[in-house]
Amino acid sequence: MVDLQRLMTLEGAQAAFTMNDRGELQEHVLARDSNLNETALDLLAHMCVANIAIATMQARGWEANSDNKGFYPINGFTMIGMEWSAISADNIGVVVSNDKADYEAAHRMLTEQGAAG
Amino acid sequence: MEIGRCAVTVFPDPGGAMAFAGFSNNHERVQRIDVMSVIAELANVPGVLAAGEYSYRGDRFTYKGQVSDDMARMASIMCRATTMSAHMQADMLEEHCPGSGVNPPEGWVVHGPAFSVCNVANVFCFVRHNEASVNRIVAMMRQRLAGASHDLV
Repeated sequence: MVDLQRLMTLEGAQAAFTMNDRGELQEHVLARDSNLNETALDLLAHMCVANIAIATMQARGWEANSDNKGFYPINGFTMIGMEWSAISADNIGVVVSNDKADYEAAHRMLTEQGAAG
Repeated sequence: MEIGRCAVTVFPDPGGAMAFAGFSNNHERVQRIDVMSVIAELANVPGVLAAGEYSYRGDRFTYKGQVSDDMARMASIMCRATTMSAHMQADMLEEHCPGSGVNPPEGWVVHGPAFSVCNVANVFCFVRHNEASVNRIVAMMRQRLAGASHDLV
């Protein structure tokens, strides 16, 4: 079971959410002071799934043409916006303020949550 | 083709002089030089496989690092495509939710099992997880490229 409240303990967390394989929003939590809303999170969830799929294809092609391995399979995608970053992995996402973003910690927690879910 | 720690710069157009043909004034030249110094700085960080820059128009790229010219070209094409897509997505999100804080997007990161690809503005960096920190690289890129234009030309 994914614990969205645990993801919200990440410093600067504005939102946490889960999505299905098509990118449709399943569950979400929003911080009170976030400018985002449910509709925005649904689109953001679609973006996360789409970007991971495209990056996975690119990594496959890269490794087929290169001796550089270690890109495939793609474990996550992060969109760095002007004010916040959306970090996603394993059908889970978290939005954190850029000034407090710890991408490695967020990705680690998403992976843990994904394994638990 | 040269692979290694030394700088490798590739311009697809014939003749190196053409590389600066699109830069019409000194201000643009200065911005160009700054980006080159960012690439050199990134490439010198232990754990960075390669760093580079691509033009939004797709007609030019430069890089430094431990990949071949062909692979650097492929990297710049893939990174440019993802950046253009991220801008399209951010525009759509902003329409959906005005003032959401996404636009203009600064960049993106793709996380693989051993490598991450970090991209800010039109600069990319391939990072080995066990030797370099993605947080440090992204922070460096955001700081050094903070003044980069968001015009996709």
